[in-house]
Amino acid sequence: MNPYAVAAILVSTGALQTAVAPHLTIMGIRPNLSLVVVTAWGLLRGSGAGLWWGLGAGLATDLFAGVPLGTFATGLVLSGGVAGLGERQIFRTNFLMPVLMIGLNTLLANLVTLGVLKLLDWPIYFGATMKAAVLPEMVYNIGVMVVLFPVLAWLSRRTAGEAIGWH
Amino acid sequence: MQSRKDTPTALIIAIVVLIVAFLVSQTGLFRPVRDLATTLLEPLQDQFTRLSRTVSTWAQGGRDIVALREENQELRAEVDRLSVELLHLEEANKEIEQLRALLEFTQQYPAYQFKGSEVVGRTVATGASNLVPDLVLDVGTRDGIQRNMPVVTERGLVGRVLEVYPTACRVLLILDVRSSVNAMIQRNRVTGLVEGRPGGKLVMTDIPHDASIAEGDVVLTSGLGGGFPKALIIGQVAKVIRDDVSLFQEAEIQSTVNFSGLERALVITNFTPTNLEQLETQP
Repeated sequence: MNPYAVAAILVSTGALQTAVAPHLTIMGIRPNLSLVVVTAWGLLRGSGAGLWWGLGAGLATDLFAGVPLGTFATGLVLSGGVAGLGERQIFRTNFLMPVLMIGLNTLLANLVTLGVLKLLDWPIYFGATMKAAVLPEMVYNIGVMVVLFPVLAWLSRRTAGEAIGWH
Repeated sequence: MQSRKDTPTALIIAIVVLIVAFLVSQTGLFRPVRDLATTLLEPLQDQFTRLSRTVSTWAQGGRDIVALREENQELRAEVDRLSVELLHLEEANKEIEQLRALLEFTQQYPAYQFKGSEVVGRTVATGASNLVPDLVLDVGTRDGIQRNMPVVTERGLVGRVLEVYPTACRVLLILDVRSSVNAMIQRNRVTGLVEGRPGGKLVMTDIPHDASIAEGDVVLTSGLGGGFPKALIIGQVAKVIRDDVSLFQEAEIQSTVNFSGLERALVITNFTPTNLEQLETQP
C-alpha cells in the first residue's frame, strides 16, 4: 500500500477519533475508533502491520487530543502487536475472533494508558474508571468492530500482496 | 507475509519512537507542531459539530413529518416545507435564548469581561478516549485568551483554559480527575474542594465532619486559592457521604451544566488566577 495513503488513513483515524467519536457518544461513552481500526488491521495483516498502524494512529490521536505524545500511542502499539498474533490463527476469519480481540485490546489499551497517566502523576481511580469508562467502552467497541471489520477486511483483500513501500 | 518478518524491527522502532516522542513532548519542543495540528483540526471539528447538529435537527424533523403523513397525505408537501421552516426558526430561537441567557449572566457579573465562544470539539466524559474529558473552544490567543482563564456558561462553571492555540483553546473541565476547585456551600459558607471523578462525576471533599450539608444545597466557587472568581455556581449536593471515623465528609455534586449538550461557553478574560506555584517557589 502506498505509504502516503497509510499516513493519510492513520492521521484521519486520529482526527476522526477526536472530531467524530464525541458525536457518537451513547450514555457518556464513545467508541475508540483508532483502537478498532488498529486491532482489525493487526488481525488481518499480522503483528508488524499492527505495530506500525498502532504507532501511527496512536501518535496522531495524541497529537490531536492534546495529551503528551505516547499517552495513547503506547497502548495502541501493544494492541496492534497483540492483534497480530490472531492473524496466524485458523479462526481468524470467524467473526468471533475480531470480537474477542477488540474486547481484549480495549482492556489492554486502557490499562496501559492508565499506567502512562499514572507515570504522569495523574490521579487514577482504577475501579471507578473500569466501571464507568472501560467496560462500557468495551461493549461499544465490540459493536463498532462488528460493523467495521467487514469493511477493513474488504480493504485488506483489495490491497492484499501490496507491501507498504515507496512505489 | 512481509509484516511477520517486519515485526521485530517494527517493535524496536516503535519503542524508540515512543520514548523519543515522550521525551520531546515533555520538553515542550513539540508545542509548535501541536499548535499547527490543533489549528488545522479546528475547522474540521467545527464542520463535524455543525453536521452533527444539523443531523439531530433533521432527525427530529423527520419524525414530525412521518406523523403528519399518516394524518393527511395530501398536505405532506406543504407540511414538509413548513416543518423545515419551523425547524430553522426553532433553531434560531434556541440560539437567541442561549445568547440571551449568556447576556443576562454577564450582566450579573459586571466586574468581569467575557469572551463568547462556540464549542467546536465537544468531548465530555473523555477526549480522544473515555479516560480524558476534554473540550475545545473556537477562541484562542488571537481573541485574547490565556491559560487558566475560567470558562463558564449561564448555568455555571465549566472549567479553566488548559492550553491555548492561535484559533482554539482546550479546557480542563471540572469533571476531569485533574481538576480541583475551591468551593463552598451557599447556605452556610462551609468550604471544601470539588474534584472530578471517572465517569463525569463531581465530588466535594475536605468538608469538616461536623459541618451541616444536605441534599439540594447549592455549591459555589469560594474564591479561595485565587483559581476562580468567587460565587460561580458549580452545582447542587446530590448525596452526602459521611462515616463516623473520618475527619472529613464528602458529597456527590450534580453539576448544573449539561456538559454533553454544551454548545456555547464564555471565557472570563479579565480574571487573573493566582499562580500558586510561583508563590511557592518564592523565598
